[in-house]
Amino acid sequence: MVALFVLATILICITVDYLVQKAQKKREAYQPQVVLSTENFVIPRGFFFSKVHTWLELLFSGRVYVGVDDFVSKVIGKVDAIEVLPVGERVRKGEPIFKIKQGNRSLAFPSPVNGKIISVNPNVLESPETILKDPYLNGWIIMIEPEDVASEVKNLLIGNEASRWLRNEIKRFKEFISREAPKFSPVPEPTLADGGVVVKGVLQNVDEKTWEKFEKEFIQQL
Amino acid sequence: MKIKNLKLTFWGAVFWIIVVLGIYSTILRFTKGLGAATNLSDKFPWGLWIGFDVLCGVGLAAGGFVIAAAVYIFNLEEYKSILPSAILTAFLGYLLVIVALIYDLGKPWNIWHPIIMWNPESVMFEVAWCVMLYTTVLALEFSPMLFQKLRLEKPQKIIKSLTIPLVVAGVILSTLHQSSLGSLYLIVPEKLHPIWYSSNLPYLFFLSAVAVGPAMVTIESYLSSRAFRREIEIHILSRLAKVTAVALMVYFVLKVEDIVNYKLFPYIFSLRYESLMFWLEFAVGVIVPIALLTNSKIRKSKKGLFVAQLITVLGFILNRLNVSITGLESYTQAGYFPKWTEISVTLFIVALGFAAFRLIAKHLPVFPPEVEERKTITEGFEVISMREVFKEQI
Repeated sequence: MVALFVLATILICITVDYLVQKAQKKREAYQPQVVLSTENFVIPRGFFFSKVHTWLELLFSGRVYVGVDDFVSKVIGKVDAIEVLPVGERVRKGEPIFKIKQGNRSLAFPSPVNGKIISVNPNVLESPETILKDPYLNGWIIMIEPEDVASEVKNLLIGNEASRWLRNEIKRFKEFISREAPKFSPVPEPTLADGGVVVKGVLQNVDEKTWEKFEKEFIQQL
Repeated sequence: MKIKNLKLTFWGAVFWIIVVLGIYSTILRFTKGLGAATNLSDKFPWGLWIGFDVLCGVGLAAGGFVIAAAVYIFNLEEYKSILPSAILTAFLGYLLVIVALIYDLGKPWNIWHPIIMWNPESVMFEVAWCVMLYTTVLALEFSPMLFQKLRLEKPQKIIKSLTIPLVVAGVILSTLHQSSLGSLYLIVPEKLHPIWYSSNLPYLFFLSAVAVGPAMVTIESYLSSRAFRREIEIHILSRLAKVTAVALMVYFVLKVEDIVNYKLFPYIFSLRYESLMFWLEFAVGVIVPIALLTNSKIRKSKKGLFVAQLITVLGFILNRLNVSITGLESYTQAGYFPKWTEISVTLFIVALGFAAFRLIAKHLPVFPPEVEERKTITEGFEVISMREVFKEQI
């Protein structure tokens, strides 16, 4: 009986813990957090940004975490899967390193640096929506060991430079959507709300051609 | 400076309740004796404290020597990042085993006797020396984390130069200790139920410890990744799970050999409490984990791996409790069930282990720095309002 009693005690503790965690997650979901805000685009001041909408966090070791920026996470809508090159693969700048999939279509993101893939975030592969909810913290996608950090960072944007660039990108995107909207939607409402604010997840509603154009104009510019 | 959040969480409240009850039980145990604090008797002298706190505690601490052997003896460098946390778990596990022994010994003040009163023919003598020496080795293996924090470079260098001898000593002592806990039960062939009695007990104990070591490292990584909001090293842990699977397969073969050699079929196929407990233990601790961990999809999924390794740990606990308690019940007819004070002491010891791990992991460099430094990006960001950008009407 003692063995069963111990087993039952452990199982009860695990069940209670599961329920406590679930309740806590629910509570956390209601807490407003700037990083998760849907009204604003967030740019961490200490992160490097590439012009293909990926961010890089330079680590103590010289390696970098790479993910997609808040702009992509706001405009893309839902994400069904993320495909990543395997750990150990050598990557060249401009070659695709990961794909974000939405149904049958995908966005292929070029590598912002030359280097070797050291690690892949298993959490985003398991729950791809993490990159939408928390693009800069838990939403990192891969870790790369750049061949030459010094020369790589020169081509990246940081601080005010990055924020100026992102503002410009958002403007460019607004123009892009205004131009393309009539082609896939007879009325602008599904994409543009009052005051010209781009509706979150606007790309989810666009047709294949617009999607490809977006990929070409915003993601594959290197 | 940050204002500390003093809000009591659910588990925080449970911890303090356990501590209060544990302190009461401790006072009762050391003022009124074992008779007042436990349901142990001359007929049944080893109960929950030995069965769970000591036998399971030692086995669950096996991750330390398994990972240390993998890194330094088999040169599998990729496991290095999880070594400090495995060493810490093992060190705390052994310290708590000693605490549990102090509770269980009738005369705890004589715990040091094996140091000078040698009885090399006794298995208990071997166990006592293994605990003493291995705890010392673990303390030395753990010390670099402390020296690093205190920026003491000289002692850190000395310990570093001793790493290989320490790891070799740790692996030898653990192997001796894990197996000698099984040997302990070789001296009670007439008392232990035939299902569990076997001359293979030392090997079975050792193998199950090798299997459960990586399982405990996985669970510890999972829980600490949640507590400290760090990434779990799934690629390392999923490879480590193969060690568990292989060790359990060897265990399976040895156990089947026992069933055949000792002609246990009538015992295991009877509708008795012991046979049901055996099947539960065998299914939960061996068959289900092998089936789950040999599936690469489960090994690569965070939740799948956690559940599979949790089942391994539960099966291991069942095995140790079956050997130490279930297997002795029918012979002794003592009808032992622990008193609430015994249970509260066990919970107290486990809770202290969790609290100590949390405290040490928070203040010492237990986890790899790349993961640690990501905590700093909670501030220093700029927000561009969408309305500011799109203020003009289309």
